[in-house]
Amino acid sequence: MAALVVAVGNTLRGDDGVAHRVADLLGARPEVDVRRVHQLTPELAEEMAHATTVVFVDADVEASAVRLERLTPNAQRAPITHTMTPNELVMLAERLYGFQGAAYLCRVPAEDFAAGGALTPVAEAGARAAARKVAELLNLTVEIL
Amino acid sequence: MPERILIHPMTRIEGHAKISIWVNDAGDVESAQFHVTDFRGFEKICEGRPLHEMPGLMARVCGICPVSHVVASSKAGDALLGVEVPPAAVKQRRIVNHAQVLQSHALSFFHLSSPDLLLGMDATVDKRNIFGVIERDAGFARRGIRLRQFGQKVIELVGGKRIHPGWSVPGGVQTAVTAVVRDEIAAWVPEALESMGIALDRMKSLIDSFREEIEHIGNFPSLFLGTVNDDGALEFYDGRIRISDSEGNTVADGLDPLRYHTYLGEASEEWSFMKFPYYKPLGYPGGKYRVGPLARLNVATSAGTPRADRELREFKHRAKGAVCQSFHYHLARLIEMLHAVERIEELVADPELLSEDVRTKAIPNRREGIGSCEAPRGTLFHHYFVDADGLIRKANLLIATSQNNLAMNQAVEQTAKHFVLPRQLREGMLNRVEAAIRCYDPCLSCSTHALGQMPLIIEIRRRSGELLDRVERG
Repeated sequence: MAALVVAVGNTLRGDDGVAHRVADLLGARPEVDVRRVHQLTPELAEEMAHATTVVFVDADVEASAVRLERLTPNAQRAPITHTMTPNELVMLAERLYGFQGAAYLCRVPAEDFAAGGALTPVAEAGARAAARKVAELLNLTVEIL
Repeated sequence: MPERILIHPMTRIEGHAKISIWVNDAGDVESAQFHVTDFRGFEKICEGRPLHEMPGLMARVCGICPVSHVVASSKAGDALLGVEVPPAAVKQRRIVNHAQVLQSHALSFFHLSSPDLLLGMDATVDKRNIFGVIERDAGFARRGIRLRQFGQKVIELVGGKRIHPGWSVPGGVQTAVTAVVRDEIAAWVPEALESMGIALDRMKSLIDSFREEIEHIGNFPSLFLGTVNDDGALEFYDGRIRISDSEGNTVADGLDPLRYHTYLGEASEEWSFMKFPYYKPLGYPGGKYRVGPLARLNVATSAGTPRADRELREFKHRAKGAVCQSFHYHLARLIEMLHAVERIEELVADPELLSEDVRTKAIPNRREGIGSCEAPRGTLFHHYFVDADGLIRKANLLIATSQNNLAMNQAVEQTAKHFVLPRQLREGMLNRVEAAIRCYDPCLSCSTHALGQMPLIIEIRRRSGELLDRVERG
């Protein structure tokens, strides 16, 4: 597996599911494995170990534009809660499974997390911009209007 | 002098909660409360929804134990249709429910509680996490991840999705299991059994170093409630309710889970969103009972599978009557994981599993239906009323975690009184209070999130509300 895209979020909570829209736009293709998850869990670390590039895509209520940033394996905080951050997962993959690839986080602007399946215009536009950025990073040929 | 010590939010549990520790004028811990700050309102959300939507909708109650909600909801639907579910569908539901017990318990034991168990309750916060466990024993951490992965994989293979599978419906399930799926599941079993043997040996070797915690973290008499089969053995899908006391005596046996409301009451308190169920014949709060791994092993006569039976016999020797120490929920959890792997092995070897007769279709024939099963954290009940068109008029969910609410509050108070010295407050003291709750592995559900921080905040306040001290970690 050359690349792994991890789309994080809940499609029943409005913009929280924007990463799944990004996954839809990227589409199914042999050179990329796309995983859709509600939250980050430890077993993803093993799947990451087989990839040379991993891109986490997630909604970010504080982002005003799509941002793609390189992740470091250093956890910024101890994972003391029931959730994991992308940085922590990178660290877990490196320490337990020898992951040596490059990991990125794609932050997609999001506004509304109320119950419902629709994205706000901001999130929809963000999803398209995010899909273009991820496609460019992974050298994918994909038509996104 | 602080009068209230607040632990908020609690860490390494599923969901959001806080703990208040109240201090008296003499400076000693007087009482403690476990508050649940989530409010979800699922019982209201489902009013007006069609019956056939319920299992899929109820899966959304939780991201950790969705399968139990799907199974209990499907069983309530079976009752409303008034149909007999094909045996292959029952076997599928059993497999997926066992797989969920396995993955949920693996998360609780290896990721949430093993930092305390392997590194000690007083280890520094920066070490007391999964990375600390990896530093201590990377192989142990990998086995934990693989066990959870196995459970998730089985759920995905049979149920279609790892989280919120909606394959089970009133009357059965939507698809048959193929031989390829069966073989893929069977191939995981030897490794899972080996890992469970290693985990159980490790846990039993650690227990003696926690004598004080075993004695003072939630060690008290209570009733225990769980489902058993006709032989009195551990049962997760169908069976009768048995209630025993702390002496090991059977208080009630052969209770029909479909009549749960005749023997279980539900009280509420203004300081928590979680209900306080109790055993009606003993009243509230005297009818406090516990559910989940510790309770199930206390009420069951046997496990019904060879390896788990050996472990259960050894487990029962830890006390003369029932095992009342909440700390032993951890060991009980591991025994149930072993049992789950053995049951999955049995079920995938059954040729009937591959039958394509997996669903009985009907329109609603009754207006009231109840479904129950054993979820990872205890007995679960779904109770629905429908109108003539099969739309939900009213729903009541009696969740496993809420049935441990009274016990969790007592465990928190007992632990705080023994370990917390308000004048010399140390982090390890508060960690033991949190550990009391982690024994019960409460599932408070949060399936939505966005990037952000989730710190642990401990606030010390006077009764007037004045903030005296605040510690934030994370």
